[in-house]
Amino acid sequence: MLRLEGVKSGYGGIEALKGVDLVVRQGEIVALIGANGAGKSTTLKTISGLLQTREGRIVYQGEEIQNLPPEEIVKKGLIQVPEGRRIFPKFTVLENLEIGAYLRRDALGTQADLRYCLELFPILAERRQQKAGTLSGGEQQMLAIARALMARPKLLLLDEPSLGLAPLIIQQIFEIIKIINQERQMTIFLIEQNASLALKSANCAFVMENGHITLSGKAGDLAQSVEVKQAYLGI
Amino acid sequence: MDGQYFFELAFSGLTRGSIYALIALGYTMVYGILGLINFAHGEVYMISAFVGLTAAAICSLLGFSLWAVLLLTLLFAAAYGAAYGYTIEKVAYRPLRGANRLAPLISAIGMSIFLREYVILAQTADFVAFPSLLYNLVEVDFLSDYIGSGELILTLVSLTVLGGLFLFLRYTQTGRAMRAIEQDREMAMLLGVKVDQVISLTFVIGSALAAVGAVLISSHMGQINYNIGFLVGIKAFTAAVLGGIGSVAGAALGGLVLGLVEAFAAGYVSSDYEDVFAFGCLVLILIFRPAGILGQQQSEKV
Repeated sequence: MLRLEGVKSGYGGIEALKGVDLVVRQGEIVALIGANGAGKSTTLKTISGLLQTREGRIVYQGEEIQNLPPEEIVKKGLIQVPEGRRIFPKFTVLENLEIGAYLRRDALGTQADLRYCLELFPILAERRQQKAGTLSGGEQQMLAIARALMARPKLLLLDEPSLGLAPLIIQQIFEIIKIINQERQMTIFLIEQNASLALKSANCAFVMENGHITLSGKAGDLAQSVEVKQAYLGI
Repeated sequence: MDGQYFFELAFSGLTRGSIYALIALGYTMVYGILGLINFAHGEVYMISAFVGLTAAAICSLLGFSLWAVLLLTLLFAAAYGAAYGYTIEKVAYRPLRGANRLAPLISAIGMSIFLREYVILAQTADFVAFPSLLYNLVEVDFLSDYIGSGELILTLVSLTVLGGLFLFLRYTQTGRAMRAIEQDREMAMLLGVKVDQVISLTFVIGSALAAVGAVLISSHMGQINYNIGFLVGIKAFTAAVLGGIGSVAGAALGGLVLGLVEAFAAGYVSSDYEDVFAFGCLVLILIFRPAGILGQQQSEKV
């Protein structure tokens, strides 16, 4: 569904991605794990068009999408939930969800998805008129995911959904990620520092170090591999 | 100090204030989205007044009714002002996006000087008479002790336009996109908002509002020249800061507060001192509530 081939990108004079190759297959949950500063978030920003692809190709459903403007990429169904949630704090929960459907013109489908999101996250239904800035971190993460769902993604890009959250909330969020993947047949590309968690939920995974992919394979196999165990799982 | 006089002043303040509010919105919306003080905004106001003058003259010559003249003049000036706003953003600010914050500021001042000189050369440096489009439109009985029919129409038109803007910002997807960009531009992009387009639209709307204000107040004052944008611009900017720059409701509130302060100062003290009170009010707000009445206290991130 999505393939990166030798993608290089970065910020100003710094090259953060030094030729990344990876594949996300339809219907799977694919995890990208690695240490802080390995280039995981940069990978996501490059896919969603916030950063220029300096070299290489990004192919999505048979079409090259590198260096398209972000709104064109969103239109194709690649929706990103960025690191740090980035909900709109002055909007109510409901307004946040509605702006998620910004590009959609099918009122009925949007309504249906709104109902779905509120069922998926009952806490958001309870707080729908509350300003999003007053939500707790976990609720904000749920809102960020729900907002992305409102755009009806074909491929959902999640950047560190566990960041700064309590273990119980993290568990809840990962369960929901699995539910979305199964119920909606939504492909999910997940970036995580928390490797053990990511490997438990994902079908396959890539390990990133210093702007390169160093390991890849089935999530279960990677969880057993000596390198990953030592470097990321702390076993 | 009888009640009659008080209400007269209050209505006069409301009239002024609603105009300040209209113009202040242009400052505050642009500031909210770009973090830029658009110094050329007052000049858009001034040019729209000249355009309004031409439009009013043409419409009168064609023999339209008084209402039609007012409406067409407003529409024409708004369209023209909007075109100016759009162009100014495209020429003076867009190429500097991402540059140092000072660069667009200087560009704004340059644009302002350019437009004033342009009007002096293309039109005149003298005052020209502006027709009073607002009078003899309606007979008002019930409020006539307090407010003239012209002021009443002026206030009603500007409050209606303000109300329309609030509804637009609150209930349309585009209005929501504007408020989203204000909060987090990159995130808005990630939801598919075409940020450049929305920024252009912000300038278009702000300038159209300024143009409406220009036609209304010019026909109230009876004369215009190349310099009218300056004082009104400063006043409207004061109103925006007073209310909390970046906040739309704040700009409206700041405009009304400023108008009322001026009217009461002029009425109870002396009209020579109305500006002293207006800016004194700004100084007080800046000392005790630097973010403005409705502004949020921003803590500098270190």
